[in-house]
Amino acid sequence: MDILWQRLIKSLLIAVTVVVALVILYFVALDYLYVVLGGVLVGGLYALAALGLALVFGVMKILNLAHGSMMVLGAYLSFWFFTLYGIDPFISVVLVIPILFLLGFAIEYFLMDKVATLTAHQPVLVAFGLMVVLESLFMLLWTADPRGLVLPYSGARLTVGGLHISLTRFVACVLSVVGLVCLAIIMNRTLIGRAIQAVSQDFKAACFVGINARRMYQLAFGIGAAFAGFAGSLISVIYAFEPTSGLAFVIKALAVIVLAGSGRISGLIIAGVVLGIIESVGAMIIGGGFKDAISFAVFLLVLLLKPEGLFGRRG
Amino acid sequence: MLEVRSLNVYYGNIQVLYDVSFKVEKNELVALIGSNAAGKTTLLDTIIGWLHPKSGSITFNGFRIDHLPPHKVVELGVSIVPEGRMLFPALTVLENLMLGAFTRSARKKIQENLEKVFEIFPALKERKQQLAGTLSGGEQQMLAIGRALMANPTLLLLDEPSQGLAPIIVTKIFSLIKELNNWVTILMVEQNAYKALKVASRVYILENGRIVREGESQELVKDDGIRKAYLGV
Amino acid sequence: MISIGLIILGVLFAAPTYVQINYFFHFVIILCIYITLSVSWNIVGGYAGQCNFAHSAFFGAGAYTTALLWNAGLLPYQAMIMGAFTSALLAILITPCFRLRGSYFVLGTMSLSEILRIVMLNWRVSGGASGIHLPVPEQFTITTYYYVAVVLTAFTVVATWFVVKGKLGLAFRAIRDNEVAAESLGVNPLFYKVISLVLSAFFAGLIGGFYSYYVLFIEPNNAFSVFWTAIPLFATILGGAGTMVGPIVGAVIYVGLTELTAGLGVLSLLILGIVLIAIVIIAPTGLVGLASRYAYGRRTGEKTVQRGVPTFIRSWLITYHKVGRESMTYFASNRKEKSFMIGETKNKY
Ligand SMILES: Nc1ncnc2c1ncn2[C@@H]1O[C@H](COP(=O)(O)OP(=O)(O)OP(=O)(O)O)[C@@H](O)[C@H]1O
Ligand SMILES: [Mg+2]
Repeated sequence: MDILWQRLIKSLLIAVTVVVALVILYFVALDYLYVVLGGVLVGGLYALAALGLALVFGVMKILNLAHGSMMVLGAYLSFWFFTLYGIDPFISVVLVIPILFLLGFAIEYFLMDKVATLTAHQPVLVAFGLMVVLESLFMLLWTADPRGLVLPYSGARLTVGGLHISLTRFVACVLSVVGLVCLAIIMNRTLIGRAIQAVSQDFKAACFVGINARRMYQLAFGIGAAFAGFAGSLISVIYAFEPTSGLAFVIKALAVIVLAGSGRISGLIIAGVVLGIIESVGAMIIGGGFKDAISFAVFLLVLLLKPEGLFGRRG
Repeated sequence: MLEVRSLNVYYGNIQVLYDVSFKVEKNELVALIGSNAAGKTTLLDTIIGWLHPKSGSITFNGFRIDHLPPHKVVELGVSIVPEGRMLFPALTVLENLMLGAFTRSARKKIQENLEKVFEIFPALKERKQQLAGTLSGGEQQMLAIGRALMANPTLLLLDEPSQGLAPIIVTKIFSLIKELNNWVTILMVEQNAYKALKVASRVYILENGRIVREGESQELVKDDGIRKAYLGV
Repeated sequence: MISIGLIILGVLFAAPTYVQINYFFHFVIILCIYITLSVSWNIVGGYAGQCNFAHSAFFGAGAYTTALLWNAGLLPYQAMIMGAFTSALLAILITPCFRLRGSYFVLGTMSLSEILRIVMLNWRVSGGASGIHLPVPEQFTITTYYYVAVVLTAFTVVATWFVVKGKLGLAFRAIRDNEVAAESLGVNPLFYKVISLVLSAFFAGLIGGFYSYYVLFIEPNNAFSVFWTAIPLFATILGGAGTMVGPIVGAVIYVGLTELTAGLGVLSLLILGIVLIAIVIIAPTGLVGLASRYAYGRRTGEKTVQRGVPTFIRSWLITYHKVGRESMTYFASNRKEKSFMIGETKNKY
């Protein structure tokens, strides 16, 4: 009972502080409120980007350095569908997701599977090689120029209580949350999801009950890639991207995971929002040139000072 | 039903099993006795497909299974209660049981088998929603056996079912194994030679990776060498 | 081995009197830069087993310090030595990164060098994004550069050789192979990891300084490029991590390969990535490991299929070529100790 009360009071306090801070911002510094809101909206996207990485990480103990490049691939595919066939990125997501799933599945099947059991370094090196391969392919196919999507409704705004919110950002954020919830359902409610959890908890035991554990690795990797593609398509609508954006993306996703301290969906969302706010407020204070450095620094600091994350459960 | 012929198994360059051969007939309860590090777990791991032998063969119902991965072997009807139970600690009892019936053939009979398991282990039914990691040792062993039964096996491999349990529970588990033998063929690995000799119909003795004796349990109980070495008489 | 090394060195010293093609000098200089970088990366990455991704930061720090001090009026060799010491200092500063294990260490060091790059891009003192131009030194000819590069590389290789063959090298390998066991034997892992990083950074900084003399223009995106980590890593893995010859062989192959594919542009990067993946999968011990395994097989007459070889090739070898089969686990799951899941990081220090 005590614990429940403590938690309730704690979350109430947090909620009240947040609301008060927002109200103060509204009256004192409207600029800052917009910056914070921008951070919140981007935060959902960051959480989505982190999700696939966290899944692969949790199940296979493999750090997929190429996750960011897979996101960039998703972005380029959306870009392609839009410029060649005029398909709206919010619709072509439906195509991008299965393509990336198959790619991830194939990568695990042909490459990662061979090194997944060896030392921790080898999978990272293979992932690094993949990142190099993907980046050079992007350069060959789409040149090194930064790309961005300009949609007919890119400038559209929602107006809520005197505040203007970019429509694309809002939709992207909502879709991200939908994606996060979908994965939570897949993992906790379906047989395949439970089998993947079983493999991550005890590989040998999972084999012994008749689960094809390697297939589960392949599926997990595929799902991770699919979600990378999903996040990438949404990003293509909001940000400009270039072949080498992958590293910054993967570090941001990792910063979210490290902040969250566990692969739990709610933790990821909060961590994503926190990172989004830190980044946009930080960029406003010390200059836009440092924007990427901020997430790198957050990642490093949390890892070094508070390795269990902000919301990690101990034990 | 299960026939193992001159099996040689290595870990890297270290040989653990030397020319192991034995047989399990349908509906038998065979025990494999051996001291620590004799290679008992290695043998069961090889049968289930976790390890692959360097030479020798394993046939199950006429199929060569020595190069199949574990999930294929389980699909064929072999099921294992591994050493140390190996439950999925962060999943509930029910989820553990459901995962036991992961193979396609077992999924069809899932309801029927679940009822049977709950009938044998009423304690598990009460704790359906509890996390497996929080069960007591005896309950965990029951869950491990229940999970193996959910796979609808025709051959059940048991790796030291009495390990780490209180004497009363050990007796209970052994009488249960005897009872299970009415449905499935059982190959059991044990260090507790006294109990194993009591329930099993036939016994093999494994020493340093070699089968050194075999025979009906009634005969072996009378053997002086065995009594000294394994029964401490 | 040593005699071969001496012969090569002798040939390189004598070469300028006979060959006077600029391309040859340039080739050897580039080769020397990569050999030095790879050999120095190998101290941390190969011998001490810490997959360091901050090598570019050390290279860049050396390059920048040298350039700034040279512009400030120091003699070239003084500036270069200061550059090397700055890198070593930077290595000491990033010691906290050793609290991270496995892939976290990779990421930690990687983000450090990215932070450094971004800071340099935005920092006025060092010229920001426009970089630093150095005055063309009248007294230096390409032969001077050539000799300096060869001497620096020889110095690095010899010094590294003494380090890894000595007590230090033993401690490094002990930490790499089993940190807990090493610690129980009285080896302080953190201390030796830092030593290995400092040594590695010193040589990287030295060659970074040389680089800024050679190209006479540096900017953050170039001096701190991930490239300076990726190439030594690639060369070391290709040749064989944790061996003395491996990184040298790897660097030679890399430079040869890039010169051959120079006309292909981005495509050469693609080939590089593919080769890296293939090597890690098929020959995780690198070319040197593969060669010694082959020699061993020849001597003992025993043939075994290496693990990591694709299954279909494996079964083909076993069936048709009577290659012995290790009895191996379906999936040797030794990853439990090496796992780096979040939440577990805490118990690790
Ligand atoms: N993964 C492994 N790698 C290398 N050697 C192993 C491995 N597993 C077991 N061994 C060795 O193989 C031998 C037999 O081990 P095994 O686990 O089969 O014995 P056991 O009869 O089951 O013993 P216990 O009664 O203690 O369970 C032991 O010497 C052990 O050290
Ligand atoms: Mg055992």
